[in-house]
Amino acid sequence: MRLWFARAALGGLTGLTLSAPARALEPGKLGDDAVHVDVTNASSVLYNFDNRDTKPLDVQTRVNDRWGMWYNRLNLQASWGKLTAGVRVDNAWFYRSPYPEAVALDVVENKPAFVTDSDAQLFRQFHAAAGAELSNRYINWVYPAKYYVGYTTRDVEVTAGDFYAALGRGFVLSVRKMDELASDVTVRGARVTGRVNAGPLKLRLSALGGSMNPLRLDESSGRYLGVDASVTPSWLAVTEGGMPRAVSTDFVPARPTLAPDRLGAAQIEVAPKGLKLGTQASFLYRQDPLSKDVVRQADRILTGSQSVEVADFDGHGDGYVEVALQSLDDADRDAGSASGELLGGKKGYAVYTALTLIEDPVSFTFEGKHYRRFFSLLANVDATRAKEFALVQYSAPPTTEAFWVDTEFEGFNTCVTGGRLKGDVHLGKDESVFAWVGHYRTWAERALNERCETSDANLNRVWDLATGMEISSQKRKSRANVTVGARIDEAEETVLGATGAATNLFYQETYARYDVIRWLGGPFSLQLQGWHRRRHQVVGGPEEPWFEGQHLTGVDWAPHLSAAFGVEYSTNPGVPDTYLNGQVTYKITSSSSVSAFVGQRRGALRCVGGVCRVYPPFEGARLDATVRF
Amino acid sequence: MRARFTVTAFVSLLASACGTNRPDIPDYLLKDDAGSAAGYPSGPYAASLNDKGLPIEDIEFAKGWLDPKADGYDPAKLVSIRLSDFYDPDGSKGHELLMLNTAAGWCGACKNEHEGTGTNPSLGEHAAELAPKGLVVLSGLFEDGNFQPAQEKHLVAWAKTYETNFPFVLDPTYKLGTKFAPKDVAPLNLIVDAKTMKLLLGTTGDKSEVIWPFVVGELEKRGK
Repeated sequence: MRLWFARAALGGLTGLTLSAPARALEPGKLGDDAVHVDVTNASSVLYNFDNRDTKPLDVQTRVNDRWGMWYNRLNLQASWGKLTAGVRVDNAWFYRSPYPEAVALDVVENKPAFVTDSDAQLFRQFHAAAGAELSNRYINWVYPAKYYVGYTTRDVEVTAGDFYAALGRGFVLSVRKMDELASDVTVRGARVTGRVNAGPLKLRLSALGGSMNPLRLDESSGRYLGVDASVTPSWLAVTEGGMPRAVSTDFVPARPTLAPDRLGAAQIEVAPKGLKLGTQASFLYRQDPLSKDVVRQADRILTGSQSVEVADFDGHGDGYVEVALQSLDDADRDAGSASGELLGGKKGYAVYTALTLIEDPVSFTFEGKHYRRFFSLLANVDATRAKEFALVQYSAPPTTEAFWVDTEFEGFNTCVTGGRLKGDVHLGKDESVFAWVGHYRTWAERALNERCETSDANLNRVWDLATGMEISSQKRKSRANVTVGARIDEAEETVLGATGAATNLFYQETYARYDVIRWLGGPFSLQLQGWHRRRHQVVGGPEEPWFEGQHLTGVDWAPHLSAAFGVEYSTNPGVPDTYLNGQVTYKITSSSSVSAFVGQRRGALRCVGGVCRVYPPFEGARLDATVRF
Repeated sequence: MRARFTVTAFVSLLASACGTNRPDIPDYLLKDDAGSAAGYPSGPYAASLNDKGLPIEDIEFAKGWLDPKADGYDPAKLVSIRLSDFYDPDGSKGHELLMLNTAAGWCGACKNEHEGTGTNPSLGEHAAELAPKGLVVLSGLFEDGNFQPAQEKHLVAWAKTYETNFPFVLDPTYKLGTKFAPKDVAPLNLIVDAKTMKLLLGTTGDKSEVIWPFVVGELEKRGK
């Protein structure tokens, strides 16, 4: 029965993927205004084989093998005059998942010879552990992921339901979608924005509030965030209506992995000619912490900032400065709370600046930061039972580093002073070279150091250097971007490396990144893309430096077809050394496509602008279809 | 037509993965041969970090040192250690709090905890300072630097490197943390009342700002 249903459902999906309409529906008019309806469906069917990370005596690396999911996102949007409305319904259906019994049996059958525990003991331990681990993974859900109603005029914008929001440069509030990290956070509540133009003076006022709404399902692990009545008091019961619930299983009782946070925020932007002044503040109010860290223990976090932006230095660049303050309080402090010095005592602050100077053919960009006890607004999730969601946060203080940097360890950005200067020289219309130098002094990398004690004992000095070029030709149909760089991170005091030897080196890396597109004539082009790194992580890494990287060779047959073959590798002794994959994408229309991915990807820490998450290795097949009706 | 065939074939391949793979369990594996030392608190036992107030199960480790430094980190002196060894209902052992800690060779935060970082004292320094007030620290090494189960040689190397001066056990099956947290969020730290073996606080990751104020506060509450 299960097999039949799976095939029927997937057969239906197949039919869906091959249908090819690509126009918005216009069912008719109401009054003078036409009603537009837009329907987009994104479907993914994936299957995970054994991803080759299985370790002896380990549950985690077994439960991520041999599971499959159909994940569907149906978007309905309608507009009529000044009104818009939309709903996104997500459903996940796991057509295959591991059983605790199979996991425990596999552990017992493959136990190392030096383990003295009896088979029955081992089975009992690992059966319970696998059961608990699977209690919030691979569970079918259908839920309203996002919904909203909006009213927009030239002067006023009102939204009820889900919306993204960013105030300033991310210190106060930044909730958005990050596809690279499978993160999509919105505020579920209401927002009002008003604009006033009084001669040369422009005024913009925004106020918003609601409960925070992260995406509940992580498609790379099949884990979900669940709530229950204990964390949905008063109006949270409304905003959490229809959302995934914590469930009890044979192994664990129902326990929430998310306690929805409430947030209110406001912003005033005044823009006299050539200048923009912004005052913004947010107040995060939350429930008892599901994870015992300093930021999540704070049940009231007030963050405010003042920004000044000069949009144009008479054609020679622009500038931006933002100063932010933050106060963490734990009003109902109980046993197990962090000290009052952190919660309710010392305030945190951050100063950030971005400056661009242009004098053709040279331009310079400088980003600087000075942060003390300034924390990202982490969501109240159970980071132990739902570690994939530990990255969910509602603010993102700028790192001033290249967006891909994934080597800011521990609390690097919470207690740091430094900046990055980048220079570009345009050698011609289509050629430019660039170089940057970044230097940071952080006191929160060897340990979290939430107090931000800036003694030399806590200090790490980081240099980040890079140079590269950008070239284009054939009317930009061909282009190349190449960067080579290095990062040297040294602790002021010696640390003990993997061999037990004392050293000041904390982390070191050299790397090359490239993205080259060569037009081959007609509709054909060739793309080469890669990132190759030599890394040495003294604390917590392998004994020796290791190489890792990826290369992708792609062919594009515009406008419909593209194919790519990827190779990834790592010499880190803890993981397999080679990964191969292939992907084909067929674009039915500009907004509808089908793509298939088959192969392997290595596990990695992926970061976007300082927000990071660990992805497990993947080995399997995946079919994605996006169809706009 | 060709595209339809290709997609159908691909989806059929995926669909073929459907079905059950739930295995039967041999009877001998269902035998419950675990038990607690006589007099140890009975269950139900804590099974998650949220189970504050429930006692910790009496876990047995086949190999460990009660005093690694005094034993010269000698593998020949490894002995079997149980959590009930630290159970002190009448205060005769002078134990007030038991801190259970996990460590692994790949875990930077664990190494920092055992080495001490910057202005943070090491676990050994905390243990030595608070032992007279009734704190006992027990740490279990569960994996080496390559994510493989820890063996004797890893236990010896770790203890020598960090000059471990508190009870230190080999825990290749991750008994200490298996109910409480996945390995990859190490270190796990559990604070347990030695008089009742009840869980008082559980944390994962670097939480020194939470753990030590709690331990000191809890000992002060007991007049220590």
